[in-house]
Amino acid sequence: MRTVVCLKLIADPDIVEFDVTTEELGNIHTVLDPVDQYVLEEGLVLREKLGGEVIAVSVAPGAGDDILRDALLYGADRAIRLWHDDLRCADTWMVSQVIRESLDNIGFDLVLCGARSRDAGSALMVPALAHHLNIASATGIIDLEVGSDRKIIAHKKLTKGERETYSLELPAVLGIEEGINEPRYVAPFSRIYREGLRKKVEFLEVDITGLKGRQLVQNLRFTQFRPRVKVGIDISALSMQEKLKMMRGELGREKEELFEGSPEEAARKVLDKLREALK
Amino acid sequence: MSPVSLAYWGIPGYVIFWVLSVAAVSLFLWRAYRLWRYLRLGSGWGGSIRLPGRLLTALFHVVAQWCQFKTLSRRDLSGLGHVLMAWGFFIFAIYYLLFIIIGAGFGISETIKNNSFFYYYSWVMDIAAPLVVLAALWGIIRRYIVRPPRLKGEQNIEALVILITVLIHPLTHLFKEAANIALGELPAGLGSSLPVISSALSQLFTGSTLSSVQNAGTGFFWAHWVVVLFVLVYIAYSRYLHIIAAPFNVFLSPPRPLGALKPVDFKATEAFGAASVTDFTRKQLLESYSCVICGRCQDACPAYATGKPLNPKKVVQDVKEHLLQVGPALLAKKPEAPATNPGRALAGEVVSLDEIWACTTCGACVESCPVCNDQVGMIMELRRRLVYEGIYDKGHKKALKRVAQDFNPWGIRWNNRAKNTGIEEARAGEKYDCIYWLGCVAAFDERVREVAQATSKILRAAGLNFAMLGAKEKCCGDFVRRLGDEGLFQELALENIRTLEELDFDFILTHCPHCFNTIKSEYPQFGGNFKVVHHTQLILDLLNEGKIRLQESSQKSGEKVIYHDPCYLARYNDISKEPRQILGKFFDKTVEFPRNHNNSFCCGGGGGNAWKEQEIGDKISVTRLEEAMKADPQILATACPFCFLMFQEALQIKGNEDGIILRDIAEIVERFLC
Repeated sequence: MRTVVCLKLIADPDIVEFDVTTEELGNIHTVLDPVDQYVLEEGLVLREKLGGEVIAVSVAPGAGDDILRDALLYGADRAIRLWHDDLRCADTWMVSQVIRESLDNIGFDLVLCGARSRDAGSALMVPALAHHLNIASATGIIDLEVGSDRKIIAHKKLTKGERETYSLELPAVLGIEEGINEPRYVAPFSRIYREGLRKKVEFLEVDITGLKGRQLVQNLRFTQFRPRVKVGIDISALSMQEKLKMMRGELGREKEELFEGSPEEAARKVLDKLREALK
Repeated sequence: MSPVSLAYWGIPGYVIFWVLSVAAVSLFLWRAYRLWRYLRLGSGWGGSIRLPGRLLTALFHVVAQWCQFKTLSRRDLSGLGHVLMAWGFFIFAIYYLLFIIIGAGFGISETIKNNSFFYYYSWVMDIAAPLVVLAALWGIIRRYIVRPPRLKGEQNIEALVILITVLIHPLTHLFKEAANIALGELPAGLGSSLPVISSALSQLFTGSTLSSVQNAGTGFFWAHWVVVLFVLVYIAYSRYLHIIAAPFNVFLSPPRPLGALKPVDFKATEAFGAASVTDFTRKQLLESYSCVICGRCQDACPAYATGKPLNPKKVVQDVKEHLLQVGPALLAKKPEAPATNPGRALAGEVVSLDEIWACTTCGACVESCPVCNDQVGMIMELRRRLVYEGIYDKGHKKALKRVAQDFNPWGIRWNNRAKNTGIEEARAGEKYDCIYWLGCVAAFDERVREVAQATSKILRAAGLNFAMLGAKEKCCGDFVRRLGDEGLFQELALENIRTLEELDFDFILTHCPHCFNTIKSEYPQFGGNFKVVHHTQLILDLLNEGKIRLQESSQKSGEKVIYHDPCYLARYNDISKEPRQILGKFFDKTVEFPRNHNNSFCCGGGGGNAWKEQEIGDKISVTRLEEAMKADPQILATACPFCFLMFQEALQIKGNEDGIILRDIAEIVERFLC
């Protein structure tokens, strides 16, 4: 089975700084999108179970070579970087077409993407790819079984621990959720790492002139609507009480309120509450 | 008349003597040659040796039997038996060489014995023989009646054979001498008084006919010579190979304290760690020959004591057994044949995964080993192999991945490192007295952060100009290296060295013995030569020089304080007096653990095992805490953040009814600051 894993290069969201005055990003450390660690791992796990190969693909400028090299060091069979300088501000629609073009050349049984990236978070890549390829898709996958009969059982994560289970058939595009597996660790100069060192990241210059889809969405600006006080939670700075609250998921969240009565009454109460909050 | 010069059933005694002796020596040499060739399968001898010093150490350990006295000082009386047997062995060996092989064997017995040297030597033998008999008897009683737990799980038959021969040959020697004296042969007539014991035994022969005494003498002579030859052969084929191998092993052992692991040169070698016995150094294989399964390491091992599968003596023995098993196949292989390991995999099968991972690298086994074996070094090679193959314990793997990503084992993003410590970050171009190396625990754990804050308060009180590295500091790599991940360790080491070299400072201060050991002993392997000071050393110096002002009080605190020696401080770096001297300045009553100083018992957090769930057996930290509780202290002091965390956990598990207060040395001193 040939699995293509799509990896995204992003600016480390925990480290990146946003300058409100110049509206520019600073302190950019490019890293692999955290969810894509799980995507790559899932591809490698499927290869262990079913054989075949794992091909890592990324639409990224030169810095993308780093994450693709890491994918090779972690055991991917091939790694391909796709790029054209005009893709710098491309939207999901455009990028998905670039990936689709390359998929035609590479060939695939299964395409795995992150369900939603940590930076843009549009969660559009999976449906867009499925549309272009005209194949089955599912996203938000938290558990995955691929049988030797090319049948897939995929579990989607819903809220409050609820799950939805799908059955689909290869070829397919799946959007992987964080936590689906435990990403492996490959020590520097270990056996798999050494094998990865012998492989090279391939580069494909993308011919975007032939792509029929134009840029549908344009990113105008990136601003901070309201300055955030807390960028992230610094766990070490929390008190024990706050830590316990965080573990219970109570930190920074109002207690849930139940509105009782007939549907009309309950709706009215909700509206009242919202009006009050907006005042 | 020497019994060798007689004829037996028409065969000259000389023929019998030399046929027997040459046969035994040949058997011995043949085996020794095989063993030597197995030994040569190892890769190199493991480092250079400074000859005069090593020779002196070896003589000190072997001839003066320091190997036993150093453990005797730890209330181990069985060492005394070894001393008697070893000295007896040397004395008897010289006797056999001079008076039996050269004297009797070449028919010059009368000439070589007719002098005062023989007279005195027979006195020495006369005293040594009964002592050896006593030692052998004590050995038999100890092994089969007392049965100390550390001898559990041995094949006792080998020990029985050797103990019986040790018992028989001084006895036959004494009777042989007694018969000689009864016959009026040498040493009779050489000096004023005859050796007491043999002459007392010669009284047994009074009233016997001359020929029966002669027959008895001849009988005892041949009996004792056959026993001697048997022992010679038996040594080579049993674990008592120890007698031959141990002196060389002690000679080849690096001087203590141990602190640095051997670096791997990734450019020169494709794989790392020990996949097969050929990946061990010859020194390490010699260690397996030297081990006589005395079990001192087993006694000292915290993993074994808490019911985990690891037993250092078993690891060494398993390696030896495996070497003897696969040795012939490896020797028969042509050098150009691919390097495959015949038989079972060394890491995982010969030594099980649970054994390999249970080691806390505390070094208690190394410290207690009378033949200077380095069991931890062996286990490290096996761990490296597992990392090469990508086999991890779950907890270890997570910690390593976190260090690779965020340079700390907690998995908190690296930009949050050392926040809220209130210590200035170092800037390039400024001159500092010291760089305060926080280490991952103080950088992220809120309780241990207080230790760092206490230390920095002391530094400020002393007027030192110091700073920390902040988010630029990365895990020093101690546990990473000890989990076998040499590649990641070297990356971390090189990056930390680069960061430190950009700054201008006199010395590095750290409160973590693990960081201390790594920066001090291991960074020089990669070009990072820094002066590193542990905070207990610095605080003691500051106190002695009067550089910090303390609260004026005529009386010392009356609280009862107990100090736990961190392995990486006391055992690896020999710093055990400093913390006690600091405590002595503030407290009247200091109590000790039963195992203290460099004989300390691990907290269970070393060697990466702070990140591993101790699924098998008891928690080491709880065992150690129970030892402390027996002394009923009010304050439990330590000087290592890992020991601190482990005790914190143990106090939670055990329940702290007595209200033991856990404190770092720095926090204790901070309390008395002005």
